[in-house]
Amino acid sequence: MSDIKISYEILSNIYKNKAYSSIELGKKLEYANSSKLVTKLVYGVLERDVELEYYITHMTKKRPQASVVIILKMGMYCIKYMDSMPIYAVVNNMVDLTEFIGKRQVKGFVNSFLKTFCTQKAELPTLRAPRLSVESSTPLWLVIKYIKQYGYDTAEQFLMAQSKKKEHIRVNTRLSSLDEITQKLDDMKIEYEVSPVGGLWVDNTKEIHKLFEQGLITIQSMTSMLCVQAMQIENGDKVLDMCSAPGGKGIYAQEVASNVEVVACDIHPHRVELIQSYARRMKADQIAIMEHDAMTFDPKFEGVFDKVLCDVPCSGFGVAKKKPDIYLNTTLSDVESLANVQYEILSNAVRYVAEGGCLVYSTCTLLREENYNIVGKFVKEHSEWKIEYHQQYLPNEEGYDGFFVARLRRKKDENIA
Amino acid sequence: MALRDIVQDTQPSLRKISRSVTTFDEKLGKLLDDMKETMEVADGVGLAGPQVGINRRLAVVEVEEFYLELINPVIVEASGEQIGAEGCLSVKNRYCNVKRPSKITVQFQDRFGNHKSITVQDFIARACCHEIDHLDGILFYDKEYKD
Repeated sequence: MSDIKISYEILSNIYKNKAYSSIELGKKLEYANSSKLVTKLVYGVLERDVELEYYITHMTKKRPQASVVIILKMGMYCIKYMDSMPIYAVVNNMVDLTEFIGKRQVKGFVNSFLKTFCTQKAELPTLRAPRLSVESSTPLWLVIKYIKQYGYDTAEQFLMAQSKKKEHIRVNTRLSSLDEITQKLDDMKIEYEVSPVGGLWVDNTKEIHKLFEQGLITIQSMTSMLCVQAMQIENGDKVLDMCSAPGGKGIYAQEVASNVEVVACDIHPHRVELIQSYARRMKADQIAIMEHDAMTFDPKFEGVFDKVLCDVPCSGFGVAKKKPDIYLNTTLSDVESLANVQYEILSNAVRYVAEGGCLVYSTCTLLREENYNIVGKFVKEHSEWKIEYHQQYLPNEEGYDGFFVARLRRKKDENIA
Repeated sequence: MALRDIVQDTQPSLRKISRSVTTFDEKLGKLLDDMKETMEVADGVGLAGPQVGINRRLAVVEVEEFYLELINPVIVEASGEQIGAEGCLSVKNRYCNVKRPSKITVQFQDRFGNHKSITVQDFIARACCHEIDHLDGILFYDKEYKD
């Protein structure tokens, strides 16, 4: 089967059966001639879905069938974003694909649609919000929310920001040190750039992958590191990482000071396994890993931990550029039910904080509903707590993700800390 | 100006067919001002009479700098099709795709009773269709679109 057909089958399963893109790619990629092409086409179509949908709306009088819509989206993506394919080849491939899936009768339509798409530049919406929605390929409801919460200029800035093409890594201080690793990189003539949070920006090459496999380094975003740093962990602290999988933050937490005890939990057994394998690779055998439901209060944790990290499940819109199918699978109603889960987890988490300790609440999203509103509502209803620090980070070209972090402390502990 | 309460789904008034507006007076102007303010505070892009408990054929639509007051609106022309997600200030926790025309022409009256006509497309067309549906007791999820 050709790569175009494989890409079509993957996309069809994602659009029609709500399959996850990463799983679907994993299953079919081995049959591809060029896995690079299939990955780029599948992720590309998903990433530009809102934009491609707009062109279909504008160039058709009647909505084509779902399978034909996918073919048109693939064709338009190739024409607009994949210079490696000549236009006539794209059109021919898509017409063949139309026949292959048994839609012979619309071959002519696919042909003329794609040819028109090449020759006529589609007009963008004149209003700012719908135009930004098309240009950034973000659903309009979300763009309108962003504009209301941040103002148009800021929303445009972070929606249109290019993500950094490099990988952010940090050194595993159990096995190595920053000096040692930068020395190694210098020796191998690998370029790197020190990041503001103490990690390194590198190209994801085989050599880097080898260091990763050896556990000398790990891939961790700047924002994940900032969440951990916000806890201000001190020597001998007991730390609870409540929604830990895949485990990166909890494992880093143990490294930032000496004799730190970390308990890393997650609710699902397969997610607990992710933490275990992360810890094994990093030789972090001191970490206690357990299956634990953050939504249910656990008396044995009450008042035990100096630092509690509540990195709650969230919509993930702050890392949308890394999750191309996010807008297909996450809607506004998910945001509303997530907010309830987040508040519930936070309400349990604060009870695990020892006297004099603090809690960090974090998400990788940009919506106020999941961020300030959650901690704000909490301190309003629990006057003994206060928000000591909070920060909303926005995606930008320096490699930050959109994320939120807040530190909460009991008012009576303020002077102790 | 004052905020009005937004009627929530399952209230029968949302399902009634609204009657035409016949009196164009100060009271109507005040109602429209209130509706605009209520819509803005609630983060909405449109609000129809039945949603504030007034079963009359009127609605407001606002998308950023674009603002429209529709009184006795009638869609006289529609073309194209668009699929997109909708929600509603009267229906909490529910969002779904709805198929709408991509371009419509609406005849309506302004708050002084002047007859007007406007052609809108894309998202504004969607918002207008959604609001005009309210005047006939139709909610967006009645028209849920599944590919």
